[in-house]
Amino acid sequence: MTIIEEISEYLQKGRAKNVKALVQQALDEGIDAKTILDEGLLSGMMTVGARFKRNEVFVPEVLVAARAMNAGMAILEPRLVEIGNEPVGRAVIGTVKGDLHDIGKNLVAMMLKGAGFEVCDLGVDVEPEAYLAKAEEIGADIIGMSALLTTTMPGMKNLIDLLEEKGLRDKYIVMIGGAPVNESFAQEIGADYYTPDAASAAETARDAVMNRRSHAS
Amino acid sequence: MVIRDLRVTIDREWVFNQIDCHKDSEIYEEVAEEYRQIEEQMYALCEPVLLMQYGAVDDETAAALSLPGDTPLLFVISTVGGKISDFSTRAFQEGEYLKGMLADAMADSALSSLERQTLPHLKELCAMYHVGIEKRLDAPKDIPMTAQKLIFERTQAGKLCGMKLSSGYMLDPVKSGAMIYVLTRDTDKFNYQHDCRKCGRLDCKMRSVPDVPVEVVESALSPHSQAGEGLSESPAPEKALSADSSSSTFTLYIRDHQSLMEALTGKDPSFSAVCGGRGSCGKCQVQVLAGSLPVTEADRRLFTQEQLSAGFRLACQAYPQEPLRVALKFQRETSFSAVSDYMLVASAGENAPGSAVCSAPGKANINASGSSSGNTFGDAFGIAVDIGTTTIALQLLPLGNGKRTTDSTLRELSSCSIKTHTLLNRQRSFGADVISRILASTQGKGQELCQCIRQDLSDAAERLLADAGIFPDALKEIVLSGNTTMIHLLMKYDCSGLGVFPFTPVNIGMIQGSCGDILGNASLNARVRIIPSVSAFVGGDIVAGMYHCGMHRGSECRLLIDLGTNGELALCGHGRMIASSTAAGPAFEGGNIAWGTGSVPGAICHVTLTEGQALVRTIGDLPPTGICGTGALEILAELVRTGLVDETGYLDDTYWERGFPLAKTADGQQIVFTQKDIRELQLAKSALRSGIETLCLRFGITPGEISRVYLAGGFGLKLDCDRAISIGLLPACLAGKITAVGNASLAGAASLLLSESGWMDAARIAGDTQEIPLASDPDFNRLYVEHMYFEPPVS
Repeated sequence: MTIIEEISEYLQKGRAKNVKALVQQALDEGIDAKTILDEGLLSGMMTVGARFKRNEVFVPEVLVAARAMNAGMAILEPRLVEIGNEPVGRAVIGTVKGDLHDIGKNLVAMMLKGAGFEVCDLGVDVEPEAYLAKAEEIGADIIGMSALLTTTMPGMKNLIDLLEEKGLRDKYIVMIGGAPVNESFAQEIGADYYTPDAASAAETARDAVMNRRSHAS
Repeated sequence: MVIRDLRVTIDREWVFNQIDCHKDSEIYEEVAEEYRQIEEQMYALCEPVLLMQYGAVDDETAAALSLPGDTPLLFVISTVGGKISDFSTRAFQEGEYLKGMLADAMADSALSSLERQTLPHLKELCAMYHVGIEKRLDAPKDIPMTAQKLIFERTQAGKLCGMKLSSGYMLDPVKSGAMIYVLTRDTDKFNYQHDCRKCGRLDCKMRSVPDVPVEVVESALSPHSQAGEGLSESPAPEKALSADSSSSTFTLYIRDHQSLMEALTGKDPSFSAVCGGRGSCGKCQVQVLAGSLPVTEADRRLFTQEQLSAGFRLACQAYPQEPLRVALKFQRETSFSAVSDYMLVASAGENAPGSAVCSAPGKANINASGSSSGNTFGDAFGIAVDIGTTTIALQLLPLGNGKRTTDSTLRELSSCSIKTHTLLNRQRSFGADVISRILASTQGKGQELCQCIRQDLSDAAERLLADAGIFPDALKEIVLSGNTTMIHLLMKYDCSGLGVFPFTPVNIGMIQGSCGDILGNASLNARVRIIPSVSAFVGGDIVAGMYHCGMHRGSECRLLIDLGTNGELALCGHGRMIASSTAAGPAFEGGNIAWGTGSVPGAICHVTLTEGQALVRTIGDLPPTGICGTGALEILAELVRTGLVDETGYLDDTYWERGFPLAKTADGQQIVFTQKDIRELQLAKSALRSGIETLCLRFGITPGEISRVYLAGGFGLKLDCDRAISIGLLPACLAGKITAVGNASLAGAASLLLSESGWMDAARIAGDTQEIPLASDPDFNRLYVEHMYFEPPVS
């Protein structure tokens, strides 16, 4: 097994210490930081995400894997900055205005990071204007909104209306999720994607950004 | 009123369940450690407050919030404060995801413990105002979210404890609950619990729904009433009870989203769901005598309007919401067919017994008969077990005096020294097939499934010993044979890998342990050994069958076919062994066939068509009750032969709608064979046939080069090989080469019980046999379409 494969294996098992040590070792051995990121950390997280979707592992296993990824990233990050590595994409995420539910959105933010995104988490009770301002500021590809109540779901449409109004609708990929939300609601309000869980959200976000890039070029 | 003197509790088990951390998880200990680390801190961060306010609302508010306007109400808010949530948010920001998730669930646990603490205060208030509680209302399930504003205002939550309300009417801190109790003058009422039944969130881990009692009237004369037959033969509901003196009654308690069928199978596995509870076979009919049961889509499809209004429903689709009284209208499988018979097989090199075989078991057949052997001191006994998905067969064999020194063979034992016991696998109540069992085990039923099979095996073994008059101490060894899933369930292995690609089993090697370890029965002192498997699909039962048929020896090409719910195939020769499992489905066992039944007395097993009229024979020559697997195959063969079914499987227009009539039951109902039945059999036969041909392709031979076919399973014992060939189930070139071997899995287990050196062979078979996955095989998929059709009749 190569050191990169080992990193991926340990990450899948949630062994933060081993991942950390191996990432350092890989860097010391002169392995390209981008390779360590893509083929070690991100590939490991993708496997975990896929296994979660197939019900082979549950939330706790994903949590410890993501924690291990973080541990590895802490070592790798300075090197990635040095070489000017660009993230897979940038995402702004938050729970909509009037809604204080936190945990689901946190899991999505975690999985997006695990898929190589730079994530800006705006927290809960987020105004449409706040999403947009942050998205413009960091040059986001994706805006992700969460709502857990039927009373706060309309807040999702408010952002889309705002984007339309400013002529920025096509600039961002809008993704939504949360217990009462579904595919038909996404279509109704004109969101780009609805995903039922955090792992699918990360996968969809990645594909959507890749797709957009390949069309642009 | 504000209550702050409250003690919350955080329930560790509840928290772990909430976040889906199960004991069999690799990281269970790690999660437990993290929990221990933050537990004390979480208690310290809890700031429990309870707010209660008695009051009423005006008509306008009542109407807007769908509240009763004319009764007093009690507004209640409970909270554990916001500090744990802040902790959780921070943990997530810092990448301490597990900590964050645990904290969040711990806050929920604390909050729910607080709701229980409300109880004494509720009682006190009710006593004070001389009222009872009619019901509890929660937003947004029972009342709109906007009602939270009313509760917030009435309890003065903002002023009294600094709470806030978001623009979406959500309480801040988030870990708070708001509810309205509707009060009543009736002081005996105290319905303080939230009614989960009305809530659509079926997967909510806090869901708690009281069981619904259903009184079941089981009449001795339950007619096999067929859908669409009209009601004329069924007595009126009132009469149904009084007219039948021999009926018995029992009460079931139906759990939350448990179907009536599931509750019935849980009580007694002989209530079988032929179609697996999909609402397609229409066999599990019940009639509602009191109470109401909503009409489902499947009911509408299978019953006439008169039947529906007379209360006919399908048990597998019925989810009782209120106490009911129902009459069972479906036949119980009181006698089922479990095959323990097997034939001795000549090993390669010896002359195969009879070359034109495919007859009923002959003299070499070892069966349950035999006089009581009694116990002689010093004698040692062993039990061979075949754990089937549907049935379990056990066989008690003498091992010789004390510790055996040399290997003996089944051949040397006289048949009278062998005792057999068969029973239904009670795990059937969790699902008829392997997939539904895997599903149940991954949904937290693993412990129950394991307990179920352990109990079955342990009881059956003890009973077998008792019947034979043998002291339990004389039992020295148990050999278990079963498919990979059955073994996983027994060993309580994680089954999640078995159900999904790439189908990874936990352990398929030979397993050895004590009765205490494996069966949970320390009073038996025997050693238990489990026959190794090849893969997730090709189990130890097939390895046992291959061993029994001597397929690991000799160079001739031989094929083993095990026809059960799945059709397993193994092809050997020239020192090579390959195997596959085909999803042949349960049609060969009478499953998914409209009038299908197991091989039980009264089942139609032989059919001939003369001038368009069916001549049938039934098992035990009893009045017809249904069609068993061989019967279905024979009808199909006859319909194809006479051209009433064309080569694509289309049933003649005359019979297309109502099915081809075969015979009448004792109470005059018409037993028919339908177009859908033909389709089921087409799928099954094509899967098996294409599997055989694909294996041959992979082996580099033509089916004609196969010198012998061993047909295992009960179906094989009664199969008319010519007809099997005529519908294309088996290639014509195999005619005359087929030997029925009966329960080869049990036979293999029995042989291994007697032969120490046999275990080396079994290990070699399990290790060397290469599994050919069919589902993704392009040749299989091409052949599957091809073999769906029939050869046109030769006129």
